[in-house]
Amino acid sequence: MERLRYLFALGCACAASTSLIACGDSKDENGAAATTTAAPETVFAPDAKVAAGLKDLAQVAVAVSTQTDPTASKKTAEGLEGHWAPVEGTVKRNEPDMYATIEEDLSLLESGDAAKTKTGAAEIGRTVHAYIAKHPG
Amino acid sequence: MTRRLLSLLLLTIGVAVLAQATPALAVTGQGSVSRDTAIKQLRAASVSIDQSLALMKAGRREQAFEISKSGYLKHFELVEIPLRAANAGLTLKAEEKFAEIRAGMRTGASTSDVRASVIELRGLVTDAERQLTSKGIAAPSVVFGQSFIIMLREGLEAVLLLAILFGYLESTKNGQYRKHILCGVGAAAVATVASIFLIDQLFSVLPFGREVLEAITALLAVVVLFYVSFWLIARLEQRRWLEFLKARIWTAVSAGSAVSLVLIGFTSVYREGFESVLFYQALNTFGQGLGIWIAAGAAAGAAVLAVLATLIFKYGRKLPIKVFLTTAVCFVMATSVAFLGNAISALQVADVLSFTRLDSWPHLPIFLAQATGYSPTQETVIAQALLAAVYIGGAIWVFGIRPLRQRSATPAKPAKAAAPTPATAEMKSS
Repeated sequence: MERLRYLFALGCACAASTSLIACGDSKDENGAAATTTAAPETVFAPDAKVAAGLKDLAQVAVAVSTQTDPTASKKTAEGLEGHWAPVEGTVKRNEPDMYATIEEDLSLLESGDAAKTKTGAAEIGRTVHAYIAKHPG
Repeated sequence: MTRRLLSLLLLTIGVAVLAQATPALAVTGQGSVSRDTAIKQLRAASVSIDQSLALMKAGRREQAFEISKSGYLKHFELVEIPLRAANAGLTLKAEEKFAEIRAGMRTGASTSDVRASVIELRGLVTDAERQLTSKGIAAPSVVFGQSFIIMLREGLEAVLLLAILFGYLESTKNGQYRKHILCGVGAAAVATVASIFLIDQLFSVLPFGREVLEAITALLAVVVLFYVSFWLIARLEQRRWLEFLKARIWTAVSAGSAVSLVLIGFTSVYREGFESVLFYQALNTFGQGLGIWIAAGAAAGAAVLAVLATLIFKYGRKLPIKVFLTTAVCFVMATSVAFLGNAISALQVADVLSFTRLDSWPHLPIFLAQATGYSPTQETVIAQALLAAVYIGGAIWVFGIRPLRQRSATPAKPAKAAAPTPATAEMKSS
């Protein structure tokens, strides 16, 4: 009888620990494991496309820097990401330092501050020029 | 035999809980970077942020910029891949904050501006680690236990106090005043709920950052938890509080003052209610992502409390209250040690306290680290060790040295007359 009770308790213990492990074995509690989104950094484009994209980026940057109203400046800056996302992976792979510099300039351009946007636009123009010189389309 | 079976069951569950703590780190990979690698890279990026802020403060702007840039390119870029899959918005925010800090360093922003951005970035990095870490079973178990004990202990304190007050009214043939005290209890319950919103409002207008507020809440909770749980103070304080309430009741009954009796009911319950609000505020702050387990612990605590309250009030059953309260106090003390660790960490994140990393010490998965308050820095570990040492020292004194001294100093006295009810008697002796 005692042995039966012992076996029963052992079974309960095993069941409890199995259920605990099962509970804890959450595949992904943020619901992310199933999705496989291509990150912009992993998307690569041919040099011609990158050069065209960067030129567009520089043009939008100039447009941002000419805005005097901070709200309008921020609104215009929203267009930067659309030109940057398709090419950033290639820029990062080819020229990591330039990639970091462009990201810093984008941050200046998105600030809405007139002085910062001017600095950002000027710097992004120089960086784009330097990149295209090294990787012509 | 039953005890052996119970031990076996507990041991097996314990092993399962511990086994779960490790897999919490190793979660599915995403692309070429697994999540546990990403967490390691995130910590390395975090170190680079701290180093660059220290260099900025030292006036070495260029080096600060270089460290910041290399930390981002070498470490955070690897984190972005799995993090983007988990939370694209957070990834973008962190990426922009990194860029903002570097841009600030490059374009001559003041150290205080860079510092403010670094504090924000530290918060984002913590959020990112939460996104990449599986909750496992250990952290939810710990916060569930903390929440359960807080609810049950604070509630039981209020119930026992009321039982004593009602017993006192009955013994003095003033049972008709019970309803006035119950009105006060009801008002205290409403005030407790209102306190939750008031504290939230108060915190939203205080001129401090999120991390400093978190630290203030946790430190307040530590002070109150220490006050209510540390044996040397708690026992004296409990007696004083009880004597005070009895004296107030006597005065109110003598004067026939209904308002005074309502107030007595209110203060005796609201005190515990306010403490609970404070503890749950701290628990919620540091249990981000585990809210459901905190709520479950509170609900379970409330359910058990309802049963115990019924037994005490309706049937006056003799319950092993003393054993429970002594055990609960140990958990409460452990919770206060966890809160202290979290408070110190929050002050470090807010750059109010400096920190010395203990590089060779292990890191816990973030949810478990927050539930236990453990962070591998000298300041948090020393603070937690000191508080734990005070508790252990107090326990040795109260349960070991003092009884020995008393036994050897005084001859045995005859037992005192029995107290009003078994449960209330246990509370007094606890």
